[in-house]
Amino acid sequence: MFEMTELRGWHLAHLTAFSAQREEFGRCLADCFGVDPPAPRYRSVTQGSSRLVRLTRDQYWWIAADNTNLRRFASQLPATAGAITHLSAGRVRLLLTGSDSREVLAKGIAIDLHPGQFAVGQCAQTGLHHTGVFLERVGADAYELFIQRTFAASIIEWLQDASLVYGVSGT
Amino acid sequence: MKSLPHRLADGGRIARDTPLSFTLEGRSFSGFAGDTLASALLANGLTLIGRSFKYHRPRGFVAAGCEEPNGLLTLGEAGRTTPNIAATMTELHEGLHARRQNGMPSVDFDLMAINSWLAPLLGAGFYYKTFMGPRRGSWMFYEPFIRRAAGLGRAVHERDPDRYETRYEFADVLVIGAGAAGLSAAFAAGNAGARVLLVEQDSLLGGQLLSRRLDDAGETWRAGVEKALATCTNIRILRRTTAFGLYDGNMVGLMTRHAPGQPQGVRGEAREVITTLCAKSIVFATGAIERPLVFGDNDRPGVMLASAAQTYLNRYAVALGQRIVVATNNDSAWSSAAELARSGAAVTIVDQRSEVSTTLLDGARAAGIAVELASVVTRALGRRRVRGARIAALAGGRETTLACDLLGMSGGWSCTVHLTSHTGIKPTYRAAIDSFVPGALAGGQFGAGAIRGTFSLPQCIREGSSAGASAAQFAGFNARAAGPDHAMTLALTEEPYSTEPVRTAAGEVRGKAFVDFQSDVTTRDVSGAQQEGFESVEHLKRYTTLGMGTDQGKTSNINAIGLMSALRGQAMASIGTTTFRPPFTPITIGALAGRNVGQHFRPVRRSPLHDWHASHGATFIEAGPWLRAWYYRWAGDTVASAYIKEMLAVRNAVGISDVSTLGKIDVQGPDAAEFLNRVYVNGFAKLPVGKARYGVMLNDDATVLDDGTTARFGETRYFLTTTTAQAGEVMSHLEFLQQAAWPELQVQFISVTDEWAGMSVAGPKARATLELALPGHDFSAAGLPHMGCRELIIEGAPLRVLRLSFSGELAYELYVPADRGVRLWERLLESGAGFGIKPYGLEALASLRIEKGHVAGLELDHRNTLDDLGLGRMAGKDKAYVGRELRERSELKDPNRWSLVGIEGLEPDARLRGGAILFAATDPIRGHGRGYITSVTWSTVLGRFIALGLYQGGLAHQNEEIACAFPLKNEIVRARIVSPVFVDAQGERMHV
Repeated sequence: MFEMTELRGWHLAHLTAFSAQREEFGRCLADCFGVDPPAPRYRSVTQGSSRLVRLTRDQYWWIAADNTNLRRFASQLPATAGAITHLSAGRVRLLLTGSDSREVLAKGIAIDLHPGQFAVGQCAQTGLHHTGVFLERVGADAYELFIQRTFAASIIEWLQDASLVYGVSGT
Repeated sequence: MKSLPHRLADGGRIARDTPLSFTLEGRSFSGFAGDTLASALLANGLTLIGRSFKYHRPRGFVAAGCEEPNGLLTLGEAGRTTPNIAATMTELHEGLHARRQNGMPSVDFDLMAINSWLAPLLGAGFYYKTFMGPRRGSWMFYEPFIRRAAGLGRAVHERDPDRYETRYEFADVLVIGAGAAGLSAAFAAGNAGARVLLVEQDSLLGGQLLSRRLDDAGETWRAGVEKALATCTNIRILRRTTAFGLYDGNMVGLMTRHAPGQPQGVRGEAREVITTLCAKSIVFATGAIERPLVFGDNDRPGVMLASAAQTYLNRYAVALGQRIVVATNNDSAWSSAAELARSGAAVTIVDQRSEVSTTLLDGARAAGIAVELASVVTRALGRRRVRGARIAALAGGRETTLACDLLGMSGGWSCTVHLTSHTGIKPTYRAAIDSFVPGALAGGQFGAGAIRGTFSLPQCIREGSSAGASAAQFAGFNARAAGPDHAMTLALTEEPYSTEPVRTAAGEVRGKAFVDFQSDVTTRDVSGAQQEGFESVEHLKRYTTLGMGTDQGKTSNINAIGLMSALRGQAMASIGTTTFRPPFTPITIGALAGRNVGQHFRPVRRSPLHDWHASHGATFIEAGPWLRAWYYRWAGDTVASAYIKEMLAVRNAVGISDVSTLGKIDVQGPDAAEFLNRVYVNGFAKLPVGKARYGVMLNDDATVLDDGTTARFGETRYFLTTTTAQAGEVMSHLEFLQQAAWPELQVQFISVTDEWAGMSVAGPKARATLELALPGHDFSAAGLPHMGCRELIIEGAPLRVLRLSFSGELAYELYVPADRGVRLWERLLESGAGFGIKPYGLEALASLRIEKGHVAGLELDHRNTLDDLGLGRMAGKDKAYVGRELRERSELKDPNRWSLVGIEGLEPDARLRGGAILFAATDPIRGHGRGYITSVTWSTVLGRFIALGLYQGGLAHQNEEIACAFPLKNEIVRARIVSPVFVDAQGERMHV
């Protein structure tokens, strides 16, 4: 079983802390997001309808249905402490669900998605069909995939083709 | 269904309740589910399966597994045709269509068999020596004829309608081979809790156990373990899966063939799947392959491996002979002989050894087998079918003839060391078993069973258990128990194995003694190679083509090494093996390509405005990964007519073009200005907020990397654009410099190419259009001067306006978040309607910039310097920038370098062509000339063809006449070197 849905109505911002003012950035981020950012890389924490993913020591993705707190962060963060880059319009966000979703992804992504290796809340920046994608496991049989908008049509066609054998459905 | 000549009434692993029909060259045959194509053909009494590669000798099946050198058939029809498939590995299915290969006109009646009579002329090296003359290049003449005469099956040109797949998989423990050792290893590793993947090339699990009788104790064990494995959720079994290559980091290539007959049944299902597997540890339980013996005419149909005859008998219930001779040098052939004798055949064992164990002798006697010790077979008799064997005592004396209809041979077993050798670990020779075994394995790799020279069933099982446990332990699991049910294992008796190196009778070999059946290499070829100095096994291989067939010498390599060892008088160990390379068995190109064919060959990049273009008459063109609007139907039905009208719209009124494909990078940080100042050749440190600047960046070697415009939207915030072609490279370049060269700079780069839709509004009416579209904002010359930039908020979203010009007209670039692109585009079209605004495509965009003399991708090819492109004066004199030092090299300062010029056609009707080679008017038209044309267009302003190009000495030759040669079309056009800026050299049009 496999289902693919495009999610709409969300905000995505790439956050970067400048190392000289890393602590200041961290304080501001924790204050605005509501909880401390995750310590390990490629892990997410959820607060309400927002998710914060740590990409590197100084880089994060903030994914939110409501961008009130993100805007507060933007207004509070000194330009010398960090940067915010909005990426909401540049990505297409797909939700892949169903017991076969792991096998569909295995046709294109060279990452071990066994639950023991890639747990819920774990993320990866990886490649799919020659393009960079961001993958997060959001449930036992559920994954979110952020793909580049300009490649989205090809990637979606690719995923549909790869999942034909599972009787793909989706919107 | 009528009974088949060689099919037994009962026994075997075939499903007699599922009869199948298939065809061979259109003739109908029948078999059963569980048959291979080979077993079914043999059951039908068909022994002539093909013609040999070079001599076109009649050939039959030699083996029953993947090592089969002769039984290669072309399967399928039309687009599904696949040549060179081993019939021994092809599961029979209903409606299978097969054809034999390499017969002219047919395998049964082959005129090319004349080659067999010409054999004395056709030895190894014949082609190399004969077809090189009389002239250089003669080989090109002969080659097609030779390829037609010698060869395998042919591929077809039709499209293959089936699907293929590639995928990734991971395991804690990978077990390769599901014979006794592999089954046992998988069980042990699984029992320790590891995630186990067991792969088996056969459709059934058991390996050599499958060739035993169903009432054998080994079969009881096999069935028991298979059942036990099926209950373990952490053990995944892939049947019909060949591990074809071992790569670094315990990465293994697997190819899975679909169960026969089903691929077209389920939508989206693949015929073959290639899996790239990464395992923490690997157990190699790949078994061993029986070796043929090398004697005269050992390739006659009916001469086959003793173990293969046993397999056909016990697994497929095909009895191939009534009078059988089994020639051997080892113990295992005795059990094969015993099995064959049980079928009622009269069997004679010819063993070269003068002494064998009493157990063997007692067993043979009990089975009614005649035994000839210290004897060898010297020649097979018969032509299309073996009729007898010549037997000679090694002690000498007269040869005798033994009539037979099946000649089994066993020259010992070669451990299947291919995979373990793929990463460069050379196998080592072990004299006791006369075989190479894996060399020292890498960490996390273990061997078990016959691959290690272990041939006794209980011992293979113990080794498997131990290797499985070790592999699990290596993968981080606590290996507790050993292998499967001990009681079952204890019921098995040890099976001793001994052998000795192959010996031959004194005197000349009569007939051809084949070492490599598939490549038609004989003992004479091997000795010929040695005589000519090709003594190294690698040279022997290339000189004779031994081991170079699709079977990769599985049955021939060791025998060849043995022969060379004897010829050189050196030990086997010192001769060594040739290099083992993937794939272990052939894999199809289709499987390697997987889904990456047709529309899925590569992803296509589409602008956020793509759908608008598509629904408004755009014709698209591929530009790197992008599909860009090339021209629009409003301007014409062909690009040649349309782009000129589109250019005129821009020059005379206003045009709008999609520039979303430009690379866009968000640069932020307190040190952003400093960083950009170091990256660009021109100064960026003092660029004020609200201004944009054209910049050029160099590679380290001072060739131009890219150009573009960077706008400053805040104290610490820049919007950098690159050319479409170099976007990725520039991003990598910046990231590299930031991480490796200047990590102390507080700056970040994020690609925002996908985030922003971009459009250029250009032409005398561009300002008026913007003023109507975005009322309340000041676009006047003072409010937004040339190279000014502004971020507006329109309907709650940012809109960035940069006043800059690629075309030379008054122009603006506008950027909005991608999802708002179409809305802004349509708004601009609506506002500009009264001024005659029109969309223009890539062709017009590129042509306008040629008229203006702007360089682009075709000139920025990483070979040209700033000075070559006429941009030398941009470089800051008092600042450092990437590429500055190497820019000073004398070679790069040579005034005779090819540098940018404009080219104007002198013949009104003759077109200039991109790539044309440039010559001075007086030069002979020969060689590489003095330069070439990079970009060309029709100039609407000048009414003639113009071009940009690179010319030796550049503008020093201004106004000189040149010749533009285009040899592909046999054209030479007269032209003149001019300034590359063809229109508005003073820039008056864009500074309004």
